[in-house]
Amino acid sequence: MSVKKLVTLSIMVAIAVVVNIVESFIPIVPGTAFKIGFANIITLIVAYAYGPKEAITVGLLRIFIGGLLSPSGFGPTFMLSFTGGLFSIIAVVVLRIINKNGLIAVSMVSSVMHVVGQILAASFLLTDVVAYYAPIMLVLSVPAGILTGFLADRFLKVTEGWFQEKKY
Amino acid sequence: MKINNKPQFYRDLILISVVLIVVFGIYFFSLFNQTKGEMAHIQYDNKILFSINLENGSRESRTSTYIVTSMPVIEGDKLLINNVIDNRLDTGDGVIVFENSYVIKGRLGYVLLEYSPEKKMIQVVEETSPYNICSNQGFSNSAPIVCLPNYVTIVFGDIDVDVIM
Repeated sequence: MSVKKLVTLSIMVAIAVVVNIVESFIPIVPGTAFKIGFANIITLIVAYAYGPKEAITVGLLRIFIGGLLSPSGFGPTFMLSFTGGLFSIIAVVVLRIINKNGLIAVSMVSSVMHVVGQILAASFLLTDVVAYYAPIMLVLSVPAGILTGFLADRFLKVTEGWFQEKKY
Repeated sequence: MKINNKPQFYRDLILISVVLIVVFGIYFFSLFNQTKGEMAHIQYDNKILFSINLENGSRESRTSTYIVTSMPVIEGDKLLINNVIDNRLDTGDGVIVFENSYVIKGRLGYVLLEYSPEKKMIQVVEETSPYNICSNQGFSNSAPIVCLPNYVTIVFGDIDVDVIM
């Protein structure tokens, strides 16, 4: 691993953690902690600029550092963000390995899978509430995923070639 | 480059349509299954502590109920009633009632609820949590109120409810 790649991946983790924290202060659906998921842009960028291995590392580091820094720590909110994040990373990585879809479609699937993971975790914690919020969250995750996918796509187009390792 | 992108566009279209059909299918299915209840069930850790009839404000308690004569005040992690520290809720479940205000104990601290007879709705007035999502939500009579860090939820349902103890 070159120094450039190491530094780039570390900066990516740092950006994802900060974006994750800033986002949690902006409520979109009252009564829930629904977020657009801008931190997922980083996972998408790393998955398509480097590869699945790097995307899993950066994604999991983001979730755990985010959990350490969040005021509620490793409580029930961490459970939700962990299962959601895990599902969305798996979706990105699987579609990256298949490598037959554009970023916007990949991002949309990943965003929907994030909500699916959260619903699975929440159905153990809050059985009665899930049925009410799950459909709204699923519907909202589609435009959120398209937005993050579009931003990641633009980023990769603008920085095209920058991520490649130089051969001396 | 353009020619290479064409099959990808169609694959994307198929993937996006499949996801959209599933998501909106679930959404429309849920629209027909919505129940707007007249009872508010206040739960801690998925167990119903007590229920309030939103029409007339009557209370059905499934836990020890302490009726007090002055407004409970939450100060930090202590509960003051008539300027005396009250620790009856520390031992476990229980609810302190003053007129239309209710105090229960969540995982992080006391939770103060209020029932409004005029609006026929219920709200969380005060709780301890990092982002105060449930107390910022305000009055509700259909959308569940969730205090996830406190394991406190308020759901709305029918009068007859299966009690799972």
